[in-house]
Amino acid sequence: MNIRCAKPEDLMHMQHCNLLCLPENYQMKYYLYHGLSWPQLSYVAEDELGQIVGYVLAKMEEESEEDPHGHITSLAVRRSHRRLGLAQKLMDQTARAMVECFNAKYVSLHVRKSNRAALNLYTNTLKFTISEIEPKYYADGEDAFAMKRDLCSFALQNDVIPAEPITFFDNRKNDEKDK
Amino acid sequence: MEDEVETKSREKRAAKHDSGAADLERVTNYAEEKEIKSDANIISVINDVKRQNDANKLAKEQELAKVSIKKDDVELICRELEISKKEAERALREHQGNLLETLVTLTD
Repeated sequence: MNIRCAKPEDLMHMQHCNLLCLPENYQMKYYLYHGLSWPQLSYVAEDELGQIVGYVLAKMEEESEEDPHGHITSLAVRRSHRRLGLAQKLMDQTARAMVECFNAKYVSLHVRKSNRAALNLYTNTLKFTISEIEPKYYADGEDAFAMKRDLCSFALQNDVIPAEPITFFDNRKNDEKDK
Repeated sequence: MEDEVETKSREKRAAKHDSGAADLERVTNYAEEKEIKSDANIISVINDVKRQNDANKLAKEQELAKVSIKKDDVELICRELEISKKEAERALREHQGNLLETLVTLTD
């Protein structure tokens, strides 16, 4: 088992893995868009043969005026390789890259209300919290939880050095902005 | 005011899973994908393009055939560059019969 940063040639295999695992699929160009824009953020898990058995596709939300933050577009692990902690490792790698490369203060994602395995991972293992409920977010009418993970505490716990430590740890400035 | 409307509509769009459509629309040089309706259409489109290409080629050949070239020039090129008469004539015609330019291109 190996977790490594996704290379351009992995993007096809990530799409294949996504098609096997999830009902939310994306055009190849959307994978390329991630790979070209934020090559540091997407990770893959490969088995001993080098086959992609899991991936995390991630990006930065940049156009907003708020703090820079990351977003998980898609995360999946093949059924045959679940319960090995791969998703957690993938998520921690991308979180680290978001802080180190882009000074991301938090990372967000959407998850199906009914997806208990994913919710358990996000809430209990990765310490995400529910920030909002998006009614009928998915095409089949299911609601989504919008979740966030604070990356300040993540960086402190894991000795991650952010891209700009001064602005990253300066919480007072954010409080003033909120007021 | 306009900005406000824009952000609002974007937020609205973000509240639905759109397979990344909104992101891709903001990419530079975005071109909307057009679907070609049926197989019959695709074949007719391909045939049209092919016909157009053929017509262009033919027109170009006719144009070239009109260019007058000197026999001496052709012989010179054949002799000096050791290429066939046919090739020499064509190269010369492509340069409107200008020997110097033809030689420059052929020896480049």
